[in-house]
Amino acid sequence: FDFGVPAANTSKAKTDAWACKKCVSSDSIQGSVAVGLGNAISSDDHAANALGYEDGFAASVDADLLHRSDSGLRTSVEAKELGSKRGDLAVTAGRAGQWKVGASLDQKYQVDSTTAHSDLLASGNTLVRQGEPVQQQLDKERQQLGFDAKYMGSHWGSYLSMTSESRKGSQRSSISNGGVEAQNIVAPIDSTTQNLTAAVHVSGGDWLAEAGVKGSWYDNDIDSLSLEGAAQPAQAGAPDNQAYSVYLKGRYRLGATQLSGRLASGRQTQDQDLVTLTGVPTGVTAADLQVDTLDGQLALVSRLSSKSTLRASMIYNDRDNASTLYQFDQLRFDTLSGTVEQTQAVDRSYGTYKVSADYRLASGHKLTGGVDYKQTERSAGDREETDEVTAWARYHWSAAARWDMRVKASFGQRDGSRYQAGAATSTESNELMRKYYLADRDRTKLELEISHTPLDSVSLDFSTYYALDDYSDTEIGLTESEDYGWDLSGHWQALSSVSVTAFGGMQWIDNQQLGSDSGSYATWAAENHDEFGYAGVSVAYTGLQEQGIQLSMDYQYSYSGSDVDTSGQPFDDDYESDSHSVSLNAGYAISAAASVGLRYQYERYQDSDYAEVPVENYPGQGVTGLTSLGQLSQNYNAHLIMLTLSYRL
Amino acid sequence: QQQDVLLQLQQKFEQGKYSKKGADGCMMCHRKTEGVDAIFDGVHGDPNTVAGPMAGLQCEACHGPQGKHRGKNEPMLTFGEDSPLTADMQNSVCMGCHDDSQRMDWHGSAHVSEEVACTDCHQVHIAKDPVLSRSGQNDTCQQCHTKVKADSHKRSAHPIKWDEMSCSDCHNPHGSMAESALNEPMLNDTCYTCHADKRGPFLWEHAPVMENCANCHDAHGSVNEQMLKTRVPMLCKQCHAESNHPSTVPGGNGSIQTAGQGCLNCHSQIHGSNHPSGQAFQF
Repeated sequence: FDFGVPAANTSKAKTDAWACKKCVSSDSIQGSVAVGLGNAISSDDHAANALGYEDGFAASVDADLLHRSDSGLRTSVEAKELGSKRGDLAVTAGRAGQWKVGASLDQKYQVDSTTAHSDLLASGNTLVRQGEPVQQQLDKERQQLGFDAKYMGSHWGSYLSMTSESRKGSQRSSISNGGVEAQNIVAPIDSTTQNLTAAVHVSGGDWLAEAGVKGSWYDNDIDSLSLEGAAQPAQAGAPDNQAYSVYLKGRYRLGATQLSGRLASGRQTQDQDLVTLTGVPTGVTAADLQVDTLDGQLALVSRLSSKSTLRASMIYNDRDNASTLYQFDQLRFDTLSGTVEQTQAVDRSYGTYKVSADYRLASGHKLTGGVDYKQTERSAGDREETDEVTAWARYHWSAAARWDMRVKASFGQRDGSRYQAGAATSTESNELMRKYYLADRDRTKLELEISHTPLDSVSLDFSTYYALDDYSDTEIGLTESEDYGWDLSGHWQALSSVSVTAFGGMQWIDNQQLGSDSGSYATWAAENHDEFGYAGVSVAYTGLQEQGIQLSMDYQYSYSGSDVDTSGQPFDDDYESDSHSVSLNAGYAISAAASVGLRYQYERYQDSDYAEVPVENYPGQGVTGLTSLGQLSQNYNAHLIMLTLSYRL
Repeated sequence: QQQDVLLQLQQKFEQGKYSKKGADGCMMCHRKTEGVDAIFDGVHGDPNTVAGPMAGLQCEACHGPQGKHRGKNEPMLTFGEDSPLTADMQNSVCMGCHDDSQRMDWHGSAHVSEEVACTDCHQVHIAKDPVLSRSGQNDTCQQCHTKVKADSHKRSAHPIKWDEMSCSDCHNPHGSMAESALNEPMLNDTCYTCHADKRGPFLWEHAPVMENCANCHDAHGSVNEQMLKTRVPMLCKQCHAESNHPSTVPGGNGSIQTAGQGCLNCHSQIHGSNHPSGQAFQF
């Protein structure tokens, strides 16, 4: 039954005389603005990930302001943590329901490590050798400027979205001489991505249609990295590249059936100058690479009866690599090896076909089931075609008051064309190897979700899952993967003034793989055990609200760990991280409009990595041939204290 | 009993007996009802909103014709868990105005088949719907998607935990025809929106990378750095068994295959190389 305004019987409605005395039609400003001043105390600026500030003075502006003019123009300003490393700002103007323009600033900041040590220091595209290792910070900063505009008419509309994001900082990388000597480096990042989407849409009584274009331009200022004075670049950077697509999409309603479709044609190109001409055929100076894409999607939803709905969908994607193929003599130890390799232009097509239906057996009993079929074809590779069929069923029980339960089971089988190990590589692979993303696989998955509300003031949610991937025809490679865990959360309105939310969960992922250095049978085995746990509690107290006081507390703990057991040498030490996060907030209303607040945030973080070794490694004493970035792990306590003054208009 | 109320509401809706005074009549009583007048702070209560409720049937645009609600206390259309309307019926009220380009694929979305009501996520009687802010959206999504909430706390994850990103950066909560309601037709296209450096085309492509980012990464989070499903070198050796070092047992901490950046000590350009000598992704 449709209760929407278009379906309403308004023949008797006489709205001409209606007023709305409560409606705000005069010039007005509403919202709030808050200024925060404080201090971050941390021994490691990795804490900026959690706090948003590096060690020292901290200031922020938060605002959510709306101006409404007499004529109905709405102008808004939103600021969030502006002044911090992740501050955002958005300004919009428009008439609701008709048009809107907006500009935004979105900042993100992430610290990987503050303790990288390397005697190579990047200066633009050049790595300059220093006399001794220099401590460097691995961090990334994204700054995105955005512009949006949209217009909505009665039966047509359009929108435009543009973003320009600069990415600066540094990341872990490594250079090698083409042999078995490598030096880890702090590689600079300096790139810009611009994205654009523009579309026009029209609609009728039973249909909607949209036509649009998308464009994306990536520009990397670090097109290569070279050691100072070296004849050859040590590394090619990510190439400048472009992507364009045009699309048409639409939906048509025929009675109780909705039919949707989307068709898109795209192109991805690259014409970057080659970073070296050594080993390159005469006359070739730049890449000429082009990938054409075709996307098609269809979806049908049909309500067969008041108890049953049928769904069917299809997704098709074709990646046609129309690039020029090249033959390059491969460098090794800065000289040509005489080994000529040819680039490959791999085509791939992908199709997914799904059909499902649900049936309401009785009130509170709903059964859903479906079959998914996925097919991938590749023009080259170890396996040119893979097919996967998955059948699934789900039962939703909500017949009893205060209870809700969902259980889902699925089983999928993947196989495909004849497996030819090593077909995609120039070196000979063990013919028993079955790459896990191409291999035959039986996937079994069970999921259970239960919600219970024992009292009006208490709600509990529990979910658990188990998934088994059995690589049934693999003798070398990943043979089995298990993924299982549970999540529990509860909410308790302890008193009218106290609410408590608690949550927690665990997850385990166990992988087993076999390898062989003999060729004809497995000679070694490895097991990988990932473990994750988290817990948290939030408490809010509003008992002193009449006195203008609000109090809240949040605590979160998380643990991540991974162990490897192999039949070879042991992996000593740990690969794990854990964090405790506490946030205390107190607010006091000085007047109806003004309030002061105190926020305290505490972060206890530590991580470890058995792969970290001292910078210098000598044969017989460390890792032969490797110069690392040293110890990159963190172990710190960090605090943030902020005093806020906020004013509500 | 709920069924009787629903039938009555359907009859009322078809009869279309709207009130004489609109919102002013409603507010004579409901000005005392907590939260009701907050509608006038928001876009739905703004008389200047083009084709908005206050420019038309006002309160009765969403709550149905008044009929004999006043005096005889006939039921009105209500929203939320206690509503006699199914989620689909509640949503028909919203979709009467919002069935537009942004929600074109709503009917085929997982949220519809899971009987999620618009009001499970959105609030109307409020100055600004919390789900439209990044932190509000993440909180809302994670109330149901608890495993994704858990994943955001792993050692390596997109910065959802600190609200530097939101779920809708990758997914469309109103549905899309792509898998997992992704914003772009394919998973990789969605990733390239922010990671265009991985898009290529490269001179030397790494086949599983161009095929599916999720072959190696779990975008919701992992206990392994770089959101890797398994850490290097074990991950690489699940595909590579070429003669010499790829086929050997992963060495302990003293091996160049494990220490530092593992296989990426030498094969650093693992997403694809644009160096003429980059066939093995070393340059």
